Amino acid sequence: MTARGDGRTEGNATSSPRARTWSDEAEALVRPRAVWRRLGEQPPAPSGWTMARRPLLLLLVLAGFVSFTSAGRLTAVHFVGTFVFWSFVPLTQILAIAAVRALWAPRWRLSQAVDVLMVGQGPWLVLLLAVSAVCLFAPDVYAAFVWLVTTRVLPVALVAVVMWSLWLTWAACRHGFQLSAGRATAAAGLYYAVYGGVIVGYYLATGQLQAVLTVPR
Amino acid sequence: MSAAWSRAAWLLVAVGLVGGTALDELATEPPERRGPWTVLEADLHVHTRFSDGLLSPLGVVAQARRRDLDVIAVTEHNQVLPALLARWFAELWGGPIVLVGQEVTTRDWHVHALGVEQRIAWDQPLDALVDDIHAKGGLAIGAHPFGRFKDSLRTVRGSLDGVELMHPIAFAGAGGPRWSDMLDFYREAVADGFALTPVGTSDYHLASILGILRTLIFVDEVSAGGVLRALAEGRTVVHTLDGVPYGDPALIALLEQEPYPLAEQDYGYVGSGPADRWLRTLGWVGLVGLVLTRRFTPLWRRRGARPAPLSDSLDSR
Repeated sequence: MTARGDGRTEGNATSSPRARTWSDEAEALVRPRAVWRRLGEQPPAPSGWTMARRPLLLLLVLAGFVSFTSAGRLTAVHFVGTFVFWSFVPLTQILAIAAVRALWAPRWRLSQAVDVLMVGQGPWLVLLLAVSAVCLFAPDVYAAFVWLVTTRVLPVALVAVVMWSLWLTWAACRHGFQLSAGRATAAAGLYYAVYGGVIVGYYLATGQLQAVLTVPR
Repeated sequence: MSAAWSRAAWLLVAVGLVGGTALDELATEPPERRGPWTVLEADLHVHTRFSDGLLSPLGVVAQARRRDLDVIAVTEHNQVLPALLARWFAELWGGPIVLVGQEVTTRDWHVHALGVEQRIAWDQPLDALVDDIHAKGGLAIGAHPFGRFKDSLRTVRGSLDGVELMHPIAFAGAGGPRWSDMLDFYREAVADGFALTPVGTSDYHLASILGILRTLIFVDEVSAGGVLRALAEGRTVVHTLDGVPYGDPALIALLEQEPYPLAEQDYGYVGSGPADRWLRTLGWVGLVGLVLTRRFTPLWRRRGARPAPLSDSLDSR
C-alpha cells in the first residue's frame, strides 16, 4: 500500500492514473464502493493542499452558482463574497470530519480524512451546476422554474441529492475508513449531527430559530 | 490527457470570470426628478447569507447596482450586523444607499425596523416592539400582512409607520398566500384614517430578482436620512402588477403629469451580447469540467512530491 503522491494528478500512483479521466467525485457518483476502496487502500499524501483542494472545489462551484443565479455570468464580486461568507460550509464539514476521525479513524491524518470524505460532495456539485444551467440556458427562466417546482422535479431532485449524499457519506466511512457497517452508520450519523448541529446552533444563537416557533406575550 | 482536460477547464473558468467581470454592468443611472422631489427606486426587504438568503452583504450591494436600485434596506431576521456590513461595503464601493434594518421575526408577525443601529429584541409583545423601534429612532413597517400576519398587524396599525403593499406573493397563483390580503389591509387602514406609508419589496433571498417590485421614494435629499424622512412622511408610490399606483395622491398626480419609467419585472439573465453569452457558457462548461475531470496538481505542489508508504503517512504524526 502506498500513499498517493504521484505529483501530477489526483488519484493513486499505482492503478494506472493516466488511464482514468474522471475525477474522484464523478467516479464516486457511479462506483462509490470501488472509489473508496481504492482511496482507503491508497490515501492521498497528507499535506495542506490535500486538506484544502476539495473544500476549495466546493467553494468554487458554489461561487459559480451564486454568480450565475444572481448576475447571469461569473463575476469577481460574487466569487469574493462567496469565498468569504460561505466558507462556513466547508469549515463545518471539516469540523464534522475531525469528530469522525477522532472516534473511528484515528490512524488517518485530518487532511487525508477530509480529502477522502469530501469526495462524496458530487451530488451537490451536480445540482448546483444543473440549476445554474437553467438560469443560463432556459429561454424563459421564470417559466422554467415554475415548471420545475410545480411538476416537483426540483423538490424531488433536492431530496434525491440529500439521500444520495447520505449514502455516499456512509460509503466513504464504510469503504474509505474501512469500518464495519454499523460503525460506518454511526460515523455518518455523527458527521451529520455535528454538521447540522453547528448550523442549528448558529440559528439558535442569533435568535432566528426559536423566534419562528414562539409568539412573545 | 486527463490533466490536459483539467487545465482546459481551469482556463475556461478563468476566461469566464475575467470576461464576465469586465462585462458586468454595475453603473446605476442618475435618479429622475418630479416636481421638487428626487425620485429614488428602493427595495426595502433584503436578506443575506446571515439568515436565509444566498448572497453576502457585498453581493447584495453589487446586485442592487446591477439592478439599478438607488436604495436597499437590508432586513435580516432578528439581527442588524449584516445590514451594517452591507452599508460599509456600499460606502466603500460607492453603492446604493443602504438602510440598516432588521426584520423582527416571530411566528405570528414580522415587522421591519428601518433606520436602527442596534438589534431590536424579538421576544417582546407586538405593541412594545413597535414602541421599542420608535424609541431607537427607527421606523416600523408591517411585513407581508397576509394570513395570520395580517391579523396580528391589524392590532398595531395605528402605531405602524408603513406597511408592505407589494410583495412577490402577488405573482403567486391560486392556492398560495393571498396578495389580496395585503391590499385589503392597506385599503382598510387608509379607509379607517390610518396614515400608513405603502412600500413595495422583493423580499429578496436569492437569484436575480432583487428589485423586481419597488418603492418609488420622493426625497428632498439623496441620503439615508432623506429616505427615512420621506418614508416617515408618506412620500412613496407603489405600483401593482397591472400598474395601478398607491400612495400619496399628490405624488401620484405628479407621476400622471410626467410618467415615470417603471423597471421591468424581469429575471435579468439575458446576456448583453454575443461575447457575454459565450463567456458565461465557457465559464459554466469550465466548472463542469473541473467537477468531472481528473484534476492535476498545481506546479507549486509538485516539487518534492514522491510516493510515500501509507504507514509513513499515517504514523508520522
